[in-house]
Amino acid sequence: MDHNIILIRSESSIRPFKEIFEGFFPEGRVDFPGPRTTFIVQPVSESPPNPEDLYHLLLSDIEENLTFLSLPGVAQTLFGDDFLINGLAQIKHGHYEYEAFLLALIKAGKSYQDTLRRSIGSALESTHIHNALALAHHNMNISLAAKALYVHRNTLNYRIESIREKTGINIRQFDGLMIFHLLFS
Amino acid sequence: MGILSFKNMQKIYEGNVQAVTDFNLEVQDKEFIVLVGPSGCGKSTTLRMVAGLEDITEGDLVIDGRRVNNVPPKDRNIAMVFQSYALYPHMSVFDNMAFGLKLRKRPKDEIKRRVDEAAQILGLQDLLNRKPKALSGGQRQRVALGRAIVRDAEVFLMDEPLSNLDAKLRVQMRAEIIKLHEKIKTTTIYVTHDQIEAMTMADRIVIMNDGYIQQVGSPSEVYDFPNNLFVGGFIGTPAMNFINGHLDDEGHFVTGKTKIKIPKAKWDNLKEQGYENKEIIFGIRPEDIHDENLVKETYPDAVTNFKVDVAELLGSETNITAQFEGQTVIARVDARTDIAINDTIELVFDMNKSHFFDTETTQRIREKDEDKKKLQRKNA
Ligand SMILES: Nc1ncnc2c1ncn2[C@@H]1O[C@H](COP(=O)(O)OP(=O)(O)OP(=O)(O)O)[C@@H](O)[C@H]1O
Ligand SMILES: [Mg+2]
Repeated sequence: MDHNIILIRSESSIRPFKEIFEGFFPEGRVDFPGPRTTFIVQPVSESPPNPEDLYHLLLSDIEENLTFLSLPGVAQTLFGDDFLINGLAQIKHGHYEYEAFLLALIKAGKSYQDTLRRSIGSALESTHIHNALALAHHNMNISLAAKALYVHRNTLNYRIESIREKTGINIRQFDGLMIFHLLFS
Repeated sequence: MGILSFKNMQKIYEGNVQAVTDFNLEVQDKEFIVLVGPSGCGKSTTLRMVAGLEDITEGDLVIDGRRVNNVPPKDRNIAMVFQSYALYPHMSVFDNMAFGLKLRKRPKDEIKRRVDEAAQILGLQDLLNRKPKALSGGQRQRVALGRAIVRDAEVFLMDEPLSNLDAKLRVQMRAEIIKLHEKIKTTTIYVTHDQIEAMTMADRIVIMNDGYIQQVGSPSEVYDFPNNLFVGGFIGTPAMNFINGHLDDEGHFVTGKTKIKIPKAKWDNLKEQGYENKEIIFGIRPEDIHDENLVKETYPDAVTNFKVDVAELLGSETNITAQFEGQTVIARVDARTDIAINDTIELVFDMNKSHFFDTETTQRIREKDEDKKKLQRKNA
Protein backbone atom coordinates (compact mmCIF):
# COMPACT_ATOMS: atom_id res chain seq x y z
CA MET A 1 0.00 0.00 0.00
CA ASP A 2 1.02 3.58 -0.61
CA HIS A 3 2.53 5.36 2.36
CA ASN A 4 4.45 8.39 3.52
CA ILE A 5 7.21 8.48 6.06
CA ILE A 6 7.95 11.07 8.68
CA LEU A 7 11.40 11.27 10.23
CA ILE A 8 12.06 13.33 13.32
CA ARG A 9 15.28 14.22 15.07
CA SER A 10 15.47 16.01 18.39
CA GLU A 11 18.22 17.38 20.61
CA SER A 12 17.28 15.21 23.57
CA SER A 13 15.61 11.84 23.87
CA ILE A 14 12.26 11.75 22.16
CA ARG A 15 11.04 8.33 23.32
CA PRO A 16 8.79 9.84 26.01
CA PHE A 17 6.74 11.27 23.17
CA LYS A 18 5.73 7.92 21.74
CA GLU A 19 2.15 8.48 22.87
CA ILE A 20 2.06 11.87 21.18
CA PHE A 21 3.23 10.44 17.89
CA GLU A 22 0.75 7.60 18.07
CA GLY A 23 -2.02 10.00 18.98
CA PHE A 24 -1.17 12.36 16.15
CA PHE A 25 -0.74 9.59 13.57
CA PRO A 26 -3.36 7.08 14.71
CA GLU A 27 -2.93 5.00 11.56
CA GLY A 28 0.84 5.24 11.58
CA ARG A 29 3.53 2.91 12.85
CA VAL A 30 6.03 4.59 15.15
CA ASP A 31 9.60 3.34 15.56
CA PHE A 32 12.67 4.68 17.31
CA PRO A 33 15.79 3.64 15.43
CA GLY A 34 17.84 5.76 17.86
CA PRO A 35 17.22 7.63 21.11
CA ARG A 36 16.85 10.94 19.26
CA THR A 37 15.31 9.65 16.07
CA THR A 38 11.71 8.79 15.29
CA PHE A 39 10.57 6.96 12.17
CA ILE A 40 6.87 6.98 11.36
CA VAL A 41 5.23 5.10 8.52
CA GLN A 42 1.91 6.66 7.66
CA PRO A 43 -0.49 5.11 5.13
CA VAL A 44 -1.80 7.54 2.54
CA SER A 45 -5.34 8.54 3.46
CA GLU A 46 -7.92 11.08 2.48
CA SER A 47 -7.18 13.79 5.00
CA PRO A 48 -3.91 12.80 6.62
CA PRO A 49 -2.59 14.62 9.69
CA ASN A 50 -0.15 17.35 8.67
CA PRO A 51 3.36 16.67 10.03
CA GLU A 52 4.15 20.39 9.94
CA ASP A 53 1.38 20.96 12.49
CA LEU A 54 3.03 18.48 14.84
CA TYR A 55 6.36 20.17 14.21
CA HIS A 56 4.94 23.50 15.40
CA LEU A 57 3.14 21.95 18.34
CA LEU A 58 6.22 20.19 19.61
CA LEU A 59 8.41 23.19 18.94
CA SER A 60 6.26 25.36 21.18
CA ASP A 61 5.95 22.68 23.87
CA ILE A 62 9.43 21.18 24.00
CA GLU A 63 11.15 24.41 22.99
CA GLU A 64 14.16 22.87 21.41
CA ASN A 65 15.18 22.59 17.83
CA LEU A 66 13.72 19.72 15.87
CA THR A 67 14.24 18.38 12.38
CA PHE A 68 11.15 17.05 10.64
CA LEU A 69 11.03 15.30 7.28
CA SER A 70 7.84 14.46 5.42
CA LEU A 71 8.76 12.08 2.60
CA PRO A 72 6.91 9.90 0.11
CA GLY A 73 7.24 6.17 0.71
CA VAL A 74 9.24 5.74 -2.48
CA ALA A 75 12.17 7.49 -0.78
CA GLN A 76 12.54 4.36 1.38
CA THR A 77 12.86 2.03 -1.60
CA LEU A 78 15.07 4.43 -3.46
CA PHE A 79 17.60 5.35 -0.78
CA GLY A 80 17.11 2.93 2.10
CA ASP A 81 16.26 3.76 5.71
CA ASP A 82 19.86 4.12 6.88
CA PHE A 83 20.67 6.73 4.28
CA LEU A 84 17.59 8.76 5.24
CA ILE A 85 18.33 8.53 8.96
CA ASN A 86 21.93 9.60 8.40
CA GLY A 87 20.80 12.41 6.14
CA LEU A 88 18.39 13.59 8.81
CA ALA A 89 21.33 14.19 11.11
CA GLN A 90 23.26 16.16 8.48
CA ILE A 91 20.84 18.96 7.79
CA LYS A 92 19.88 22.08 9.69
CA HIS A 93 16.86 21.91 11.99
CA GLY A 94 13.48 22.81 10.54
CA HIS A 95 10.59 21.20 8.69
CA TYR A 96 11.39 19.80 5.26
CA GLU A 97 9.29 18.44 2.46
CA TYR A 98 10.92 15.85 0.23
CA GLU A 99 12.49 18.07 -2.42
CA ALA A 100 13.84 20.57 0.12
CA PHE A 101 15.40 17.68 2.02
CA LEU A 102 17.16 16.33 -1.07
CA LEU A 103 18.47 19.81 -1.88
CA ALA A 104 19.79 20.15 1.67
CA LEU A 105 21.55 16.79 1.29
CA ILE A 106 23.11 17.89 -1.99
CA LYS A 107 24.55 20.81 -0.07
CA ALA A 108 25.75 18.46 2.70
CA GLY A 109 28.58 17.09 0.61
CA LYS A 110 29.90 15.01 -2.21
CA SER A 111 29.25 11.58 -0.76
CA TYR A 112 25.56 12.41 -0.41
CA GLN A 113 25.48 13.75 -3.94
CA ASP A 114 27.04 10.56 -5.24
CA THR A 115 24.51 8.35 -3.53
CA LEU A 116 21.61 10.49 -4.67
CA ARG A 117 22.87 10.52 -8.23
CA ARG A 118 23.31 6.76 -8.22
CA SER A 119 19.95 5.96 -6.63
CA ILE A 120 17.88 8.38 -8.68
CA GLY A 121 19.83 7.55 -11.84
CA SER A 122 19.22 3.84 -11.53
CA ALA A 123 15.50 4.30 -11.00
CA LEU A 124 15.11 6.19 -14.28
CA GLU A 125 15.93 5.74 -17.93
CA SER A 126 18.49 8.14 -19.31
CA THR A 127 15.78 9.69 -21.54
CA HIS A 128 13.96 10.84 -18.43
CA ILE A 129 17.01 12.55 -17.02
CA HIS A 130 17.78 14.09 -20.36
CA ASN A 131 14.22 15.43 -20.57
CA ALA A 132 14.33 16.84 -17.07
CA LEU A 133 17.50 18.72 -17.92
CA ALA A 134 15.89 20.08 -21.07
CA LEU A 135 12.98 21.33 -18.99
CA ALA A 136 15.41 23.10 -16.68
CA HIS A 137 17.23 24.53 -19.66
CA HIS A 138 13.95 25.98 -20.94
CA ASN A 139 12.99 27.62 -17.67
CA MET A 140 10.34 25.01 -16.85
CA ASN A 141 8.43 25.84 -20.01
CA ILE A 142 7.00 22.50 -21.13
CA SER A 143 6.08 23.57 -24.67
CA LEU A 144 9.54 24.93 -25.39
CA ALA A 145 11.27 21.93 -23.86
CA ALA A 146 9.06 19.50 -25.83
CA LYS A 147 9.81 21.34 -29.05
CA ALA A 148 13.54 21.24 -28.44
CA LEU A 149 13.31 17.51 -27.68
CA TYR A 150 11.21 16.81 -30.80
CA VAL A 151 8.53 15.15 -28.70
CA HIS A 152 4.86 15.95 -28.19
CA ARG A 153 3.90 17.96 -25.12
CA ASN A 154 1.88 15.01 -23.88
CA THR A 155 4.88 12.74 -24.12
CA LEU A 156 6.91 15.12 -22.02
CA ASN A 157 4.08 15.48 -19.52
CA TYR A 158 3.85 11.73 -19.32
CA ARG A 159 7.57 11.41 -18.61
CA ILE A 160 7.41 14.10 -15.94
CA GLU A 161 4.69 12.08 -14.23
CA SER A 162 6.73 8.95 -14.59
CA ILE A 163 9.70 10.63 -12.90
CA ARG A 164 7.39 11.53 -10.06
CA GLU A 165 6.11 7.98 -9.76
CA LYS A 166 9.54 6.41 -9.75
CA THR A 167 11.39 8.91 -7.58
CA GLY A 168 8.71 10.93 -5.81
CA ILE A 169 10.33 14.11 -7.18
CA ASN A 170 8.03 16.68 -8.74
CA ILE A 171 10.00 18.46 -11.45
CA ARG A 172 7.10 20.75 -12.26
CA GLN A 173 8.28 22.70 -9.25
CA PHE A 174 11.48 24.63 -9.01
CA ASP A 175 13.02 22.66 -6.13
CA GLY A 176 12.39 19.33 -7.83
CA LEU A 177 13.89 20.42 -11.10
CA MET A 178 16.83 21.97 -9.27
CA ILE A 179 17.72 18.52 -7.90
CA PHE A 180 18.14 17.17 -11.43
CA HIS A 181 20.04 20.20 -12.52
CA LEU A 182 22.48 19.96 -9.60
CA LEU A 183 23.00 16.20 -9.83
CA PHE A 184 23.03 15.54 -13.54
CA SER A 185 24.13 18.56 -15.54
CA MET B 1 8.45 41.93 33.11
CA GLY B 2 9.11 41.63 29.42
CA ILE B 3 11.65 44.17 28.25
CA LEU B 4 13.63 43.36 25.15
CA SER B 5 16.60 45.11 23.76
CA PHE B 6 17.99 44.32 20.31
CA LYS B 7 21.45 45.71 19.73
CA ASN B 8 22.95 45.69 16.25
CA MET B 9 21.56 42.26 15.61
CA GLN B 10 22.53 40.48 12.42
CA LYS B 11 21.62 37.19 10.89
CA ILE B 12 23.68 35.63 8.16
CA TYR B 13 22.50 32.18 7.10
CA GLU B 14 24.67 29.51 5.69
CA GLY B 15 25.60 30.30 2.12
CA ASN B 16 26.12 33.95 3.07
CA VAL B 17 22.44 34.89 3.02
CA GLN B 18 22.17 38.13 4.95
CA ALA B 19 18.64 37.94 6.33
CA VAL B 20 18.75 40.66 9.01
CA THR B 21 21.11 43.65 9.16
CA ASP B 22 21.84 45.96 12.07
CA PHE B 23 18.54 45.47 13.89
CA ASN B 24 18.15 47.89 16.81
CA LEU B 25 15.02 48.11 18.93
CA GLU B 26 14.00 48.70 22.52
CA VAL B 27 10.73 46.98 23.43
CA GLN B 28 8.97 48.25 26.55
CA ASP B 29 7.21 46.04 29.05
CA LYS B 30 3.59 45.25 28.00
CA GLU B 31 4.14 46.58 24.50
CA PHE B 32 2.48 45.01 21.46
CA ILE B 33 5.07 45.24 18.70
CA VAL B 34 4.25 44.24 15.15
CA LEU B 35 7.00 43.36 12.68
CA VAL B 36 5.70 43.93 9.18
CA GLY B 37 7.20 43.88 5.71
CA PRO B 38 7.11 42.01 2.41
CA SER B 39 7.89 38.33 2.07
CA GLY B 40 11.52 37.48 2.75
CA CYS B 41 12.33 40.73 4.56
CA GLY B 42 13.53 38.94 7.70
CA LYS B 43 10.54 39.03 10.05
CA SER B 44 10.45 35.35 10.94
CA THR B 45 14.21 35.25 11.20
CA THR B 46 14.13 38.05 13.75
CA LEU B 47 11.41 36.32 15.73
CA ARG B 48 13.24 33.01 15.64
CA MET B 49 16.35 34.67 17.00
CA VAL B 50 14.29 35.93 19.93
CA ALA B 51 12.89 32.43 20.44
CA GLY B 52 16.36 30.93 20.35
CA LEU B 53 15.51 28.71 17.40
CA GLU B 54 18.07 30.50 15.27
CA ASP B 55 21.57 31.60 16.29
CA ILE B 56 22.30 35.30 16.43
CA THR B 57 25.20 35.89 14.05
CA GLU B 58 26.21 39.21 15.58
CA GLY B 59 24.96 41.72 18.13
CA ASP B 60 23.13 41.26 21.41
CA LEU B 61 19.69 40.30 22.50
CA VAL B 62 18.87 41.28 26.05
CA ILE B 63 15.65 40.15 27.74
CA ASP B 64 14.91 41.64 31.14
CA GLY B 65 18.49 42.67 31.64
CA ARG B 66 19.99 39.32 30.70
CA ARG B 67 21.93 38.72 27.50
CA VAL B 68 20.27 35.63 26.06
CA ASN B 69 22.28 35.02 22.88
CA ASN B 70 23.46 31.71 24.28
CA VAL B 71 20.47 30.84 26.46
CA PRO B 72 18.50 27.84 25.14
CA PRO B 73 14.89 28.51 24.10
CA LYS B 74 13.30 26.82 27.06
CA ASP B 75 15.15 29.05 29.51
CA ARG B 76 14.15 32.32 27.83
CA ASN B 77 10.69 32.48 29.36
CA ILE B 78 8.90 33.04 26.09
CA ALA B 79 5.85 31.40 24.53
CA MET B 80 5.36 30.93 20.82
CA VAL B 81 2.27 30.81 18.63
CA PHE B 82 2.83 29.68 15.08
CA GLN B 83 1.08 30.03 11.77
CA SER B 84 -0.75 26.74 11.98
CA TYR B 85 -3.13 26.76 14.88
CA ALA B 86 -2.82 23.04 15.19
CA LEU B 87 -3.75 21.15 18.32
CA TYR B 88 -3.07 17.60 19.43
CA PRO B 89 -6.11 15.86 17.94
CA HIS B 90 -6.24 13.07 20.51
CA MET B 91 -6.08 15.34 23.56
CA SER B 92 -8.87 17.28 25.20
CA VAL B 93 -8.77 21.07 25.25
CA PHE B 94 -7.57 20.87 28.84
CA ASP B 95 -4.71 18.54 27.97
CA ASN B 96 -3.73 20.56 24.93
CA MET B 97 -3.24 23.56 27.15
CA ALA B 98 -1.68 21.59 30.00
CA PHE B 99 0.83 19.63 27.95
CA GLY B 100 3.66 22.18 27.97
CA LEU B 101 3.35 22.55 31.73
CA LYS B 102 3.33 18.78 32.26
CA LEU B 103 6.55 18.59 30.27
CA ARG B 104 7.99 21.15 32.65
CA LYS B 105 6.90 18.97 35.56
CA ARG B 106 4.71 21.62 37.18
CA PRO B 107 2.61 20.36 40.09
CA LYS B 108 -0.88 19.10 39.20
CA ASP B 109 -2.83 21.75 41.13
CA GLU B 110 -0.78 24.54 39.60
CA ILE B 111 -1.46 23.17 36.12
CA LYS B 112 -5.16 23.02 36.80
CA ARG B 113 -5.22 26.54 38.18
CA ARG B 114 -3.36 27.98 35.20
CA VAL B 115 -5.46 26.16 32.62
CA ASP B 116 -8.66 27.25 34.37
CA GLU B 117 -7.45 30.85 34.43
CA ALA B 118 -6.59 30.78 30.73
CA ALA B 119 -9.91 29.14 29.91
CA GLN B 120 -11.66 31.88 31.85
CA ILE B 121 -9.81 34.62 29.94
CA LEU B 122 -10.62 33.02 26.60
CA GLY B 123 -14.16 31.90 27.38
CA LEU B 124 -13.31 28.24 26.99
CA GLN B 125 -14.52 27.02 30.39
CA ASP B 126 -17.29 24.86 28.98
CA LEU B 127 -15.13 23.29 26.31
CA LEU B 128 -12.28 21.90 28.38
CA ASN B 129 -13.29 18.28 27.91
CA ARG B 130 -13.86 18.50 24.18
CA LYS B 131 -11.53 17.19 21.54
CA PRO B 132 -10.29 19.66 18.91
CA LYS B 133 -12.41 18.18 16.13
CA ALA B 134 -15.53 19.17 18.07
CA LEU B 135 -14.50 22.84 18.05
CA SER B 136 -15.09 25.64 15.57
CA GLY B 137 -12.13 27.29 13.84
CA GLY B 138 -12.29 30.27 16.15
CA GLN B 139 -12.47 28.10 19.25
CA ARG B 140 -9.47 26.12 18.10
CA GLN B 141 -7.53 29.30 17.56
CA ARG B 142 -8.41 30.38 21.07
CA VAL B 143 -7.16 27.10 22.48
CA ALA B 144 -3.91 27.67 20.58
CA LEU B 145 -3.63 31.05 22.32
CA GLY B 146 -4.49 29.35 25.61
CA ARG B 147 -1.53 27.03 25.16
CA ALA B 148 0.68 30.13 25.19
CA ILE B 149 -1.15 31.90 28.02
CA VAL B 150 -0.83 29.05 30.52
CA ARG B 151 2.93 29.25 30.24
CA ASP B 152 2.91 32.55 32.09
CA ALA B 153 5.77 33.70 29.88
CA GLU B 154 7.26 37.19 29.89
CA VAL B 155 7.10 37.47 26.12
CA PHE B 156 4.72 36.13 23.47
CA LEU B 157 6.05 35.53 20.01
CA MET B 158 3.51 35.13 17.23
CA ASP B 159 4.43 34.39 13.64
CA GLU B 160 1.47 35.13 11.34
CA PRO B 161 -0.90 33.29 13.66
CA LEU B 162 -3.94 34.28 11.61
CA SER B 163 -2.69 33.74 8.09
CA ASN B 164 -4.38 30.37 7.65
CA LEU B 165 -7.81 31.66 8.61
CA ASP B 166 -10.53 32.84 6.28
CA ALA B 167 -11.09 36.59 6.09
CA LYS B 168 -14.02 36.72 8.51
CA LEU B 169 -12.37 34.64 11.20
CA ARG B 170 -9.18 36.62 10.78
CA VAL B 171 -10.91 39.88 11.60
CA GLN B 172 -12.62 38.25 14.57
CA MET B 173 -9.38 36.76 15.92
CA ARG B 174 -7.53 40.02 15.41
CA ALA B 175 -9.96 41.62 17.83
CA GLU B 176 -9.68 38.63 20.13
CA ILE B 177 -5.90 38.91 20.34
CA ILE B 178 -6.08 42.64 21.05
CA LYS B 179 -8.63 42.01 23.79
CA LEU B 180 -6.43 39.31 25.22
CA HIS B 181 -3.45 41.62 25.26
CA GLU B 182 -5.47 44.27 27.05
CA LYS B 183 -6.33 41.73 29.74
CA ILE B 184 -3.01 40.08 30.38
CA LYS B 185 -0.61 42.69 28.99
CA THR B 186 2.16 40.29 28.15
CA THR B 187 4.83 41.88 25.96
CA THR B 188 4.14 40.59 22.46
CA ILE B 189 6.09 40.51 19.24
CA TYR B 190 3.76 39.76 16.39
CA VAL B 191 4.83 39.09 12.82
CA THR B 192 2.65 39.70 9.80
CA HIS B 193 2.99 40.77 6.20
CA ASP B 194 -0.47 42.34 6.36
CA GLN B 195 -0.18 46.07 6.95
CA ILE B 196 -3.83 46.38 7.96
CA GLU B 197 -3.23 43.83 10.71
CA ALA B 198 -0.18 45.82 11.76
CA MET B 199 -2.05 49.14 11.80
CA THR B 200 -4.98 47.80 13.80
CA MET B 201 -3.07 45.75 16.37
CA ALA B 202 0.23 47.42 17.14
CA ASP B 203 1.33 49.81 19.83
CA ARG B 204 4.35 50.28 17.65
CA ILE B 205 5.08 48.98 14.18
CA VAL B 206 8.50 47.92 12.98
CA ILE B 207 8.56 48.09 9.19
CA MET B 208 11.25 45.97 7.57
CA ASN B 209 12.50 45.63 4.03
CA ASP B 210 15.34 43.51 2.78
CA GLY B 211 16.62 42.79 6.30
CA TYR B 212 16.72 46.43 7.35
CA ILE B 213 14.39 48.30 9.68
CA GLN B 214 12.82 51.10 7.67
CA GLN B 215 10.93 52.76 10.47
CA VAL B 216 9.68 52.19 14.01
CA GLY B 217 6.67 54.11 15.24
CA SER B 218 3.04 54.14 16.29
CA PRO B 219 0.54 53.36 13.52
CA SER B 220 -0.39 57.01 13.11
CA GLU B 221 3.25 58.08 13.10
CA VAL B 222 4.30 55.73 10.32
CA TYR B 223 1.18 56.70 8.41
CA ASP B 224 1.57 60.46 8.70
CA PHE B 225 5.34 60.70 8.84
CA PRO B 226 6.77 57.90 6.69
CA ASN B 227 10.58 57.90 6.73
CA ASN B 228 10.95 57.09 3.08
CA LEU B 229 9.27 56.05 -0.16
CA PHE B 230 9.16 52.41 0.92
CA VAL B 231 7.20 53.11 4.11
CA GLY B 232 4.98 55.64 2.36
CA GLY B 233 4.09 53.07 -0.28
CA PHE B 234 3.83 50.07 2.05
CA ILE B 235 1.53 51.51 4.71
CA GLY B 236 -1.96 52.47 3.56
CA THR B 237 -4.38 51.08 0.96
CA PRO B 238 -4.66 52.18 -1.73
CA ALA B 239 -1.00 53.13 -1.52
CA MET B 240 0.30 56.67 -1.41
CA ASN B 241 0.63 58.25 -4.87
CA PHE B 242 4.11 59.20 -5.96
CA ILE B 243 4.43 61.80 -8.70
CA ASN B 244 7.78 62.62 -10.28
CA GLY B 245 8.58 66.22 -11.03
CA HIS B 246 10.69 69.15 -9.87
CA LEU B 247 10.43 72.36 -7.89
CA ASP B 248 10.72 75.75 -9.56
CA ASP B 249 12.05 78.83 -7.79
CA GLU B 250 8.65 80.39 -7.14
CA GLY B 251 7.08 77.91 -4.75
CA HIS B 252 5.62 75.35 -7.16
CA PHE B 253 5.85 71.64 -7.72
CA VAL B 254 6.04 71.15 -11.49
CA THR B 255 5.16 68.00 -13.39
CA GLY B 256 4.55 68.07 -17.14
CA LYS B 257 2.49 71.17 -17.85
CA THR B 258 1.04 71.33 -14.35
CA LYS B 259 2.28 73.72 -11.68
CA ILE B 260 0.98 73.27 -8.15
CA LYS B 261 1.40 75.85 -5.45
CA ILE B 262 3.09 74.59 -2.28
CA PRO B 263 1.95 76.08 1.07
CA LYS B 264 4.42 78.67 2.33
CA ALA B 265 5.77 76.85 5.38
CA LYS B 266 6.44 73.73 3.35
CA TRP B 267 8.04 75.71 0.55
CA ASP B 268 10.31 77.63 2.92
CA ASN B 269 11.47 74.37 4.39
CA LEU B 270 12.15 72.80 0.98
CA LYS B 271 14.02 75.92 -0.11
CA GLU B 272 16.07 75.98 3.05
CA GLN B 273 17.11 72.40 2.43
CA GLY B 274 18.26 73.23 -1.08
CA TYR B 275 15.54 71.66 -3.20
CA GLU B 276 14.79 74.78 -5.26
CA ASN B 277 14.95 73.91 -8.99
CA LYS B 278 15.70 70.27 -8.09
CA GLU B 279 14.02 67.05 -9.04
CA ILE B 280 11.74 65.74 -6.33
CA ILE B 281 9.05 63.13 -5.70
CA PHE B 282 5.70 64.41 -4.55
CA GLY B 283 3.70 61.99 -2.38
CA ILE B 284 0.00 62.30 -1.67
CA ARG B 285 -2.42 59.81 -0.14
CA PRO B 286 -5.56 58.92 -2.12
CA GLU B 287 -7.77 60.38 0.59
CA ASP B 288 -5.92 63.70 0.36
CA ILE B 289 -7.06 64.21 -3.22
CA HIS B 290 -10.50 65.82 -3.19
CA ASP B 291 -13.39 66.59 -5.48
CA GLU B 292 -15.44 68.85 -3.21
CA ASN B 293 -15.97 72.40 -4.38
CA LEU B 294 -15.12 73.76 -0.98
CA VAL B 295 -11.63 72.30 -1.13
CA LYS B 296 -11.19 73.51 -4.70
CA GLU B 297 -12.07 77.01 -3.60
CA THR B 298 -9.65 76.81 -0.70
CA TYR B 299 -6.72 75.64 -2.85
CA PRO B 300 -7.45 77.06 -6.31
CA ASP B 301 -3.77 76.66 -7.23
CA ALA B 302 -3.85 72.93 -6.67
CA VAL B 303 -6.85 72.07 -8.86
CA THR B 304 -5.91 69.92 -11.83
CA ASN B 305 -7.45 67.80 -14.56
CA PHE B 306 -7.44 64.00 -14.45
CA LYS B 307 -8.49 61.53 -17.11
CA VAL B 308 -10.42 58.67 -15.53
CA ASP B 309 -9.31 55.05 -16.10
CA VAL B 310 -11.53 53.38 -13.54
CA ALA B 311 -13.99 54.53 -10.91
CA GLU B 312 -14.75 51.90 -8.30
CA LEU B 313 -17.70 52.53 -6.05
CA LEU B 314 -16.96 50.94 -2.66
CA GLY B 315 -19.89 51.60 -0.39
CA SER B 316 -19.44 55.07 1.00
CA GLU B 317 -16.38 55.85 -1.11
CA THR B 318 -15.23 55.87 -4.68
CA ASN B 319 -11.68 55.03 -5.72
CA ILE B 320 -10.82 56.85 -8.90
CA THR B 321 -7.83 55.65 -10.88
CA ALA B 322 -6.83 58.37 -13.29
CA GLN B 323 -4.07 59.70 -15.51
CA PHE B 324 -2.35 62.85 -14.45
CA GLU B 325 0.53 64.18 -16.53
CA GLY B 326 1.28 60.69 -17.81
CA GLN B 327 1.33 59.17 -14.33
CA THR B 328 -1.29 56.98 -12.69
CA VAL B 329 -2.91 58.43 -9.61
CA ILE B 330 -5.56 57.03 -7.29
CA ALA B 331 -7.96 59.34 -5.48
CA ARG B 332 -10.44 58.30 -2.83
CA VAL B 333 -13.48 60.53 -2.75
CA ASP B 334 -16.99 60.33 -1.36
CA ALA B 335 -19.27 57.91 -3.14
CA ARG B 336 -20.36 59.16 -6.54
CA THR B 337 -21.81 57.50 -9.60
CA ASP B 338 -21.49 60.24 -12.16
CA ILE B 339 -18.00 59.37 -13.38
CA ALA B 340 -17.36 57.35 -16.52
CA ILE B 341 -14.20 55.99 -18.08
CA ASN B 342 -12.29 58.57 -20.12
CA ASP B 343 -14.09 61.49 -18.45
CA THR B 344 -11.90 64.39 -17.58
CA ILE B 345 -12.54 65.53 -14.03
CA GLU B 346 -11.22 68.23 -11.77
CA LEU B 347 -9.58 67.14 -8.55
CA VAL B 348 -7.60 69.05 -5.99
CA PHE B 349 -4.57 68.07 -3.94
CA ASP B 350 -4.71 68.97 -0.27
CA MET B 351 -1.21 70.39 -0.35
CA ASN B 352 -1.07 70.67 3.43
CA LYS B 353 -0.99 66.88 3.42
CA SER B 354 1.69 66.66 0.74
CA HIS B 355 4.94 64.78 1.28
CA PHE B 356 8.17 65.33 -0.59
CA PHE B 357 10.88 62.74 -1.08
CA ASP B 358 14.46 63.03 -2.20
CA THR B 359 14.75 61.39 -5.61
CA GLU B 360 18.16 59.94 -4.88
CA THR B 361 18.04 58.82 -1.24
CA THR B 362 14.25 58.10 -1.36
CA GLN B 363 14.10 59.64 2.15
CA ARG B 364 11.19 61.91 2.98
CA ILE B 365 12.24 65.53 3.40
CA ARG B 366 11.46 66.29 7.01
CA GLU B 367 9.77 69.42 8.24
CA LYS B 368 11.09 71.55 11.04
CA ASP B 369 8.14 71.36 13.39
CA GLU B 370 7.65 67.66 12.82
CA ASP B 371 9.06 66.39 16.09
CA LYS B 372 6.91 68.88 17.95
CA LYS B 373 3.82 67.62 16.11
CA LYS B 374 4.66 64.02 16.89
CA LEU B 375 5.20 64.83 20.54
CA GLN B 376 1.94 66.75 20.77
CA ARG B 377 0.14 63.77 19.34
CA LYS B 378 1.79 61.39 21.78
CA ASN B 379 0.74 63.55 24.73
CA ALA B 380 -2.78 64.01 23.44
N1 LIG C 1 17.33 28.44 6.97
C1 LIG C 1 17.63 29.37 6.06
N2 LIG C 1 18.77 29.27 5.32
C2 LIG C 1 19.09 30.21 4.41
N3 LIG C 1 18.34 31.30 4.16
C3 LIG C 1 17.20 31.46 4.85
C4 LIG C 1 16.78 30.50 5.82
N4 LIG C 1 15.60 30.92 6.35
C5 LIG C 1 15.31 32.08 5.72
N5 LIG C 1 16.26 32.40 4.82
C6 LIG C 1 16.31 33.62 3.98
O1 LIG C 1 16.37 34.74 4.82
C7 LIG C 1 15.56 35.80 4.32
C8 LIG C 1 14.52 36.19 5.36
O2 LIG C 1 13.62 35.12 5.55
P1 LIG C 1 12.42 35.17 6.61
O3 LIG C 1 11.82 33.82 6.66
O4 LIG C 1 12.91 35.76 7.87
O5 LIG C 1 11.42 36.19 5.89
P2 LIG C 1 9.95 36.66 6.33
O6 LIG C 1 10.01 38.14 6.43
O7 LIG C 1 9.48 35.92 7.51
O8 LIG C 1 9.10 36.30 5.04
P3 LIG C 1 7.60 35.67 4.90
O9 LIG C 1 6.66 36.84 4.97
O10 LIG C 1 7.62 35.08 3.53
O11 LIG C 1 7.40 34.67 5.98
C9 LIG C 1 14.96 35.28 3.02
O12 LIG C 1 15.76 35.74 1.98
C10 LIG C 1 15.04 33.78 3.16
O13 LIG C 1 15.16 33.16 1.91
MG1 LIG D 1 7.91 34.48 7.84
